[in-house]
Amino acid sequence: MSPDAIDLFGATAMRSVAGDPLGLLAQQVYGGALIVFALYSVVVFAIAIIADRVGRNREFLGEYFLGSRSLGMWAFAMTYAATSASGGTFMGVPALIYTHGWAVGLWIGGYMIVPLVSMGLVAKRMNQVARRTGAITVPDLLRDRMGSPWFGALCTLTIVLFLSLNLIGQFKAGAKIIETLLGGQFAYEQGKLLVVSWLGDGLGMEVALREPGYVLCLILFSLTVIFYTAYGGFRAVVWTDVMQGAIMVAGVLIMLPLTIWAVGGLDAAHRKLVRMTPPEHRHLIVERVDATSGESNDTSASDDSANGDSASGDSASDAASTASIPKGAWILLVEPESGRKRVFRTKSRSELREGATQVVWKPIDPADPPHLIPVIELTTPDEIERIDRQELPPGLRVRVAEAADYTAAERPVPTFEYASGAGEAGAYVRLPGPDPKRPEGFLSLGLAMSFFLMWNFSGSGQPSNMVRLLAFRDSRTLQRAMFTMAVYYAMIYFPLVVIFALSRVLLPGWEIEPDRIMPEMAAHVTHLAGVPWLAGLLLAAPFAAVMSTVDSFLLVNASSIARDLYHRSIDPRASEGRLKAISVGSTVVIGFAATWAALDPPQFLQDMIVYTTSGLSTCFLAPVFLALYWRRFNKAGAFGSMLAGLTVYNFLYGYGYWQSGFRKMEPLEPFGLHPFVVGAAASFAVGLLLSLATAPPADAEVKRFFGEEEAEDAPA
Amino acid sequence: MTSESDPSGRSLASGLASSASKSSHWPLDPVYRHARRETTVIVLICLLMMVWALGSARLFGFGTLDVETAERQAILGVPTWVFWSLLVPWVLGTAITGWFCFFYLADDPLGRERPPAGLANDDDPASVSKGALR
Repeated sequence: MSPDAIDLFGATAMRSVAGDPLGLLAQQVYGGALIVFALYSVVVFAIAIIADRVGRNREFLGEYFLGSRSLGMWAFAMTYAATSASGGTFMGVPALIYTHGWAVGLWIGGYMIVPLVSMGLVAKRMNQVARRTGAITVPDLLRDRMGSPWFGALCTLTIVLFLSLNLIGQFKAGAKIIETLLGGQFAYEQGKLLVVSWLGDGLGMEVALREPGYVLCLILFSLTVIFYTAYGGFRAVVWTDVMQGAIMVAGVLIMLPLTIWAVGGLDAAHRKLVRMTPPEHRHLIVERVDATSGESNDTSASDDSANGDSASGDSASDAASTASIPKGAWILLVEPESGRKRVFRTKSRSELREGATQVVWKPIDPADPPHLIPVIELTTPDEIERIDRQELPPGLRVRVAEAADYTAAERPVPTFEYASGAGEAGAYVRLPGPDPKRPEGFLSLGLAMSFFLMWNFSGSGQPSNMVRLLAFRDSRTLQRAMFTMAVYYAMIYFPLVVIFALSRVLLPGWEIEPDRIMPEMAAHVTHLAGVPWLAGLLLAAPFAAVMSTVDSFLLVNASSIARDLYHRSIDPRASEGRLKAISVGSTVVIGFAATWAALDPPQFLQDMIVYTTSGLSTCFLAPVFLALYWRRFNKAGAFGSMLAGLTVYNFLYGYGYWQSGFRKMEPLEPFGLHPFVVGAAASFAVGLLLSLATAPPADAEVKRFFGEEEAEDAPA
Repeated sequence: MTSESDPSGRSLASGLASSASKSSHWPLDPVYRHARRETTVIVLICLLMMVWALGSARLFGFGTLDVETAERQAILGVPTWVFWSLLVPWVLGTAITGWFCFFYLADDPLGRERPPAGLANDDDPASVSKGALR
């Protein structure tokens, strides 16, 4: 290996682990993650028990769903911040930054002012109006403000529909993150065997036989989050959010200096990034050659696989029988005539079957042609020079698929290059950023504006955020919490952009699965710094993020059923004991229902999470804002506003889905504007127009919410 | 800014408020008036930050450059546009949030807590949820 060679797999300590599809993470990393996960679970259970003790002897519903409106500065700031930062923040955003470079910084640039806007826009008024009506939930508040139980029911229904879909996706995301972190551990492997024997063989669950690791992690994730949420209620959720928020910021702040050190400083990294060009998507054809015949081999295959450095535990060295090429394997090819060196990385696993003369790739995506192994080809000269090893079983000959091969496979010749930024030095440091599919690049100015507005204003319309605005203690708490959150976000989001913009300098070729860049970077930088055990803490950040979001969504959904539906509409005189049973029961039932659905989740999961999260904001932003600030806003306007948001938003998604032939959940974006922006604008417009076109609300009602408090009602 | 003590409804979307409150003779709640003013300022700050971030990105960030020029265009090891469009406004945005919180956002009393709706009319307090929130 050359002195500057990339330590692809973190040297020997990062030796592959059987069962890990990519085989890249070290046992030490897994060990660290397992210990952290175990400690983490113990702490959240303890928090739930303490929260339950503290909350006893207080009015049950207000305590269980709102922590008795007593959140102090730290709790309020951290629960708001942690709920907003989901698994996507630590898995999806890093993947985007890795793929598109610094441009993603502008894509999430709106976060520079999110704490002020999303919290400040409605916080004070919302808290005040909630106190006037005794509201515990957002539908509670809107129902009283608009004087319409039916409007309250519409709010409840919207929340339950969107959040139930969202929870399925979040549970799956949580399980997948834990699977990524724990995979390969001894305890994990034993757990998988139990799942197979109990659930698979015992109960006949087909999915337990097919994906025991996923089922195990889903059960672990679900039991933890359902238990502490159901048992401790809002207070437990808030306290665990504080811990989870601390884990997230610790992860980022440790990772930042380690990354900058690992790349040799920001200046050195910038010089390398400037010279990087996007990879190309190609296919390879791998054929077996008779090793004894001495026939020439097209590859420059070294014997890395034979000396134990192969990335896959089951890559057979005996190509005469069965061999496999793992996902993530590097393949070198030196063109015999020109001497040009080409470097490829496999995008999926392929196998040579017994007796075959060709490596037969088992296609994951049926759209890809058979016998052609999908790979990316590096195009940055510096990276190509630095990679000098190959993980390919000996006795195989490789060549790059040409037009005739696609024709033979009866497939059209695909586009190899990125639609934007191909061959362009500086693509990763400039705007609009390279993009594999969009010819206009990753981020146009219009799209950047759309996202800037969306990040800021969609947070204000999110019911799980709004319920926290009902819960803070006083104005001084709001002042301090808002500033705390601004500092907190500055410490999380900008460093995340820096870390993952630099990540491609350290780890090339992760376009094959960019979602793994966070765990890979955690493993890589801690290994380089000689502290691999620390990776456990860094890897805890994503699962803390997903858990802090799921617990809040779970509780908001349960409150919709227990408070809005049962208590307010069915049995207002329910005893405390019954309310308690229904509240805890609905948390548990919704949690297990989401778990059950996540066992066999619908398609487009990540898209579903995005769709439901911004969908809720689209529906709620305008009605809530107008209800709090506009005296003329009336019942008709409220219905119109929410239904307009709901209709326009779903139309844009439905039309996009239909346009893709029901294959992709990509919304229609008129003028490059996100559906949230279009839907919320329609919601505001219809709310305003319908209110003006219909009779104004009664003066007494308006006074109740906009007039000064009567002397006898003044605060003590 | 709108006429703060005017209960006639000329508010955020000036001119839209009308008949409902025109005839009213009650004073507007001061917390509402403060919140309305603060919200207007928040929206203005957000728009200004957006103009700054996107404007400077347009100025420094778009378009292809040759390698040497792109390499030179860096401040503190990050691309020039990242410095002006992200780093500087991020620090500034945090500072503005601090100013807003501690020097602009009024420390208003948020009012007395009412019992949750649905509980107030119970005639058998022993059998129902305990009264008001704390």
